[in-house]
Amino acid sequence: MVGVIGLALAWGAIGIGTQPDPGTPAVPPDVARIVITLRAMSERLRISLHLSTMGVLSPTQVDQRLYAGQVVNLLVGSGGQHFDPRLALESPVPGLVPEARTLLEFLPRAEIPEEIRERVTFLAKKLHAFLNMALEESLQVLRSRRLDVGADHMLRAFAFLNAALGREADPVHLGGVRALLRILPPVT
Amino acid sequence: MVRGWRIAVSVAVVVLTGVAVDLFATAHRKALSETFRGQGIAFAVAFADAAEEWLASGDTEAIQRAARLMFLGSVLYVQVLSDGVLRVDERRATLAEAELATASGPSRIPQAGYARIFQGPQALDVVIPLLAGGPGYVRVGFDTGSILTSARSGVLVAAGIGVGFDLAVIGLLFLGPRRRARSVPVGSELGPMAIRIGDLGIEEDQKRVTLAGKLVPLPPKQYALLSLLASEPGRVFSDREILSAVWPDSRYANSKDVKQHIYLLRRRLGKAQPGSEGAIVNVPGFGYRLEPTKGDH
Repeated sequence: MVGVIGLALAWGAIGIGTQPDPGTPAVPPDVARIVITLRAMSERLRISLHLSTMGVLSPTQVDQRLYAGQVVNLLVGSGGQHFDPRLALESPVPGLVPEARTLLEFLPRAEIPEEIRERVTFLAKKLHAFLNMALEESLQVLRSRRLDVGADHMLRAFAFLNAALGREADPVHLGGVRALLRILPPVT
Repeated sequence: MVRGWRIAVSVAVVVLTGVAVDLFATAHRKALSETFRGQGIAFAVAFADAAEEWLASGDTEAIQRAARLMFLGSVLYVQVLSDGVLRVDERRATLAEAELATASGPSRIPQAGYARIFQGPQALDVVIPLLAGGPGYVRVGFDTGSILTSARSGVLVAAGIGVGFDLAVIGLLFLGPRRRARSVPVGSELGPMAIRIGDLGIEEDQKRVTLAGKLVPLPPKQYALLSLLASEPGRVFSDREILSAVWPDSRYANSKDVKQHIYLLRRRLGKAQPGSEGAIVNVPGFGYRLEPTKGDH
């Protein structure tokens, strides 16, 4: 609940700054908020991909757990369940999973073009599922007692995070944040 | 004399086990070092990839932040040199005072080796050349403490298995013959599950008793009674022991039954070979024991 309110406030604050440009067609404020959130998510997904790569290639379990812990922190956000405050960054981070959940809850009442609503909702559900699976695999890394087993789980987490980010060009419609950004009207 | 060769074999087994454990420890440590080296290079390459991106955007602070995170793990120091200028030179807080010279000789391929960079244990020093820009590298040093710990636990496990093996072999060498001396199983005539005490032979798997080569047909209780007495020839079995072994489920069996079955058993043995009734000896006040019949030496 706190996360939802926090995100709504954040979106509100961002919305104040997103004034329509007279040169570009007007974009509904809800779309602008969603796009800005997705851009921030894609940046954090890129970081988590880098962290999970380091986790896969870690030479010791201590290193591996360190990176898996960071990925979990990015996924659950500051104060979330499984959040490790020892690995926390200086500033609080909104979790990718709570953000995806909030996005899913927000979409039915958001003001977005009707012709893309169904597709956006479908992709948002996929995004939420990928992030949850990435979280589960990252937690498995923390539970595993062997470096090779942990690396295997970390690799799967990487795959799910990669799927959650999506590709710049997606010929087979795999989904992910980038696919959502392609479908939604561009926001400058 | 017989005892002498057992001792010699035991000493040889212990020495050979020691050598095997030592060989295993060496091979294990070598394998661990190789794996650690390979993983270390891969890890440093992944870090160098990101560092190169940060360098391109001029964000050396991001490299420093990443390095500080790495120090929570097994990384000891991080050095980034680009265009001949040392951009990042970070190390663990405990090594803050230590001097770390830049890596010599630019190379086009990753270099990795174990070296004593600082005072204390060896470190794995990995140097990854930068692909873009002028001459430069990303250098990461790993603490090898985890290899030492894994190697030590591997040696402990191997030593444990070795000691267990030695004990088992020595136990077989010294205790095996004693057990065999108590009741001699006869493999050739009577089968592997058989016991021979003098002229008396008992085949447990076939429930068959022979005396001086003659078959002695026995009903189950008498057979069980003879089997019990033959399990430890010479030992006195009390009535209570006999009752609990031969009549385990009967609340009504008593010493009279024992007496009666001893009598019947003696009679059967006597019929098969006159004089063998005395093989079952009554020890007044204590119980009964089986004495080897005349064929036993």
